[in-house]
Amino acid sequence: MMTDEIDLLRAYRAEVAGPSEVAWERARAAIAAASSADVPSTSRPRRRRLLYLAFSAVAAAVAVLLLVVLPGSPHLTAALHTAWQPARALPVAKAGAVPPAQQGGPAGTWRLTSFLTTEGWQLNTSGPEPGPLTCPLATVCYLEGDNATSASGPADMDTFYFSADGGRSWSALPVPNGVTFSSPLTCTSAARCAAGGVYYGKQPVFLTTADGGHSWTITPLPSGTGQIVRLSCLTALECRGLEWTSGTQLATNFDLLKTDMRFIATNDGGAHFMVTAFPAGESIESLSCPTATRCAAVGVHDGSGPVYDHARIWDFASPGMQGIVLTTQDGGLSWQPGAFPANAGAGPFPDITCPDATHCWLIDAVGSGEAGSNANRSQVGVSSDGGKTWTTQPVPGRYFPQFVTLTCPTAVTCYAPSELSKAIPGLITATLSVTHDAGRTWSLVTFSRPSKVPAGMAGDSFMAIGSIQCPAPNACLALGVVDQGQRITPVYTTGGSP
Amino acid sequence: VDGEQTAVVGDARIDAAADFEAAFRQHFVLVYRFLSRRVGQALAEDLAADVFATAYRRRSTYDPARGSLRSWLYGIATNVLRDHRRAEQRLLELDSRGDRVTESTDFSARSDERVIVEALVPTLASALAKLSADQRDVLLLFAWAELSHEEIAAAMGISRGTARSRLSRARAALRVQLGRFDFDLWLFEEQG
Repeated sequence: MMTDEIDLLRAYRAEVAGPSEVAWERARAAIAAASSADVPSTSRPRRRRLLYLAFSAVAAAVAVLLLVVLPGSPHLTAALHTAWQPARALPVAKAGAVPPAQQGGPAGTWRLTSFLTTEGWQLNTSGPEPGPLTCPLATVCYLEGDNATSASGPADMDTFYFSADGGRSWSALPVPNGVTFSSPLTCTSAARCAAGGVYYGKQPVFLTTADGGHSWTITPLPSGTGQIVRLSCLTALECRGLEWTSGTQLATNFDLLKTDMRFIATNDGGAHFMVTAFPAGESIESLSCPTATRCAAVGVHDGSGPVYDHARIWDFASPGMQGIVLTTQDGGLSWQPGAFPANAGAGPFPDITCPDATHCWLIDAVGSGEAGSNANRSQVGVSSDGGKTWTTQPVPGRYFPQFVTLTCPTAVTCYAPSELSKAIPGLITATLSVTHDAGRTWSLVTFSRPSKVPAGMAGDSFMAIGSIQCPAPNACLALGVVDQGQRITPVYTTGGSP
Repeated sequence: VDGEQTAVVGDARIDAAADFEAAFRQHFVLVYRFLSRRVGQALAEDLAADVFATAYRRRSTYDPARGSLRSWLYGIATNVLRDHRRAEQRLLELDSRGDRVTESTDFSARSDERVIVEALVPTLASALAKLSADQRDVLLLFAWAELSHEEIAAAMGISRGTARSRLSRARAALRVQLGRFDFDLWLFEEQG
């Protein structure tokens, strides 16, 4: 029987869960980091400590001087291991922003769960505009974010967020100095992740973390290797991706389409890399590797050069407009062309995803040949032989705009975030297309606007889903996109009640 | 952890690697839960890691003659929390407005007592938010970490007398904030 205020306090917040595996891993990693730089403070004689501090101060001053005075950026010649850094909790949503009725619910129903808001934690007024989302578990998600000082300028993918509660609350983690992400994160466990990056704007690097982003290993890529723009790790050692050396874009209006992307692979966690070119004339845009040896890739047949023309984007017979599918069964050493869906082109957003070694999905495009026509729309291809042959399922054009990417948690269920179609007047909610029968039928998920929204969002739109992850078939998390320049990102989830 | 250094952890000089690992295993859950109660689950993961990394770095400064190992660890935790007062305050403010969603997933174990306490959450949170930082530290080390007066004194680096009087004042302040709550009937008394 409770008798006093201490008992009352003990009952208040009594139901606190114990540490998750992630928490244990983070603590162990932090201790390991402390041990790697271990010099017990009192074991060092005072004079020696003062000398050490003086030397450190001088070394720091020299380092700053070198950085400021001498031209050129720092250049890595060996892997750099950064010190463990704590995270900062982001402000939670303002009261009333997310109605309690929408915060919980049965698994499988979509609801608005939180807002990622910058207010109060950074000085610039334009960012971040969150970027790629990666959720290794239904509860653990990471997000690379834009911290650009100008909303209209290029994105600086140099901010990193994580959530340990399925997107309900977020923390910001510092990204190592000089590092920006060049690919979405890929995780093989709750805390072990990797990504492509660029060091001080010039040097392509391979980034790995074993403690959920609190510390990083920055490994320079071999000379002549471009930046990694797509990456997928099957294990902590085996990663596959696309690297981009030339820097040539196929069309100025579509920065996703690039020429001369090459296949990059490592089998030892980034100690060594293998880079292989795709067959001449093929510009690969998207890659999916369900196993270490089997991959499927999709792109455009660009012939002898960058002839991709925005005005002829739907003219699939023209050189540079034709879609191409390639498969490999030997880890990228050789590539064989598959049968690209007939009467279809790559479209502006070719994407491929293979949830397992036999089932693959791709986004291509069909249309009238007339640029900007509403008849132009996405088409989804389904393969049951690892990408060699395809059957197509037209997406109902009346309701579904162009698909941007596919997320397929199972062989029959796929989600496709899409850009808002101007052909649907008055539609101001985010849209997501979903199929549960391997693409035969699609339905449209729309997201209701909350009755109260944060300041700055009132009267605004919840225009599109920018990124979606489904770590389990019935647990997806999606980031909404609001108007450019807004500092708020809606977060949606299908997970069970918190 | 490396096995090169030796330090005093416990009652005797022991090997740092083995015994720090043992200390970590023994105390991590409790320290984490204490931090989670104070600043929420997400931030607690970071702070708990920070506490044990700090403890590892400073392990040679631990003197068992001045207090138990757990009081030393809670002392580090209290220091770490000082940099996150705003996060704690924000959580209390959310509770005081009834806005925060509980982090618990175990609703089957709810008792009547728990339901009553939930109804009191805004009052309790508001009362805690109004305490001074030092009073709150002492009170929650006593209530949530279940440290004795002596351990609180060791954790906070204050005398036993100061710990005792500070706790007494914190409890009194909390009672004032709770107003006319009848601890026997577990109800607020009728006004007038």
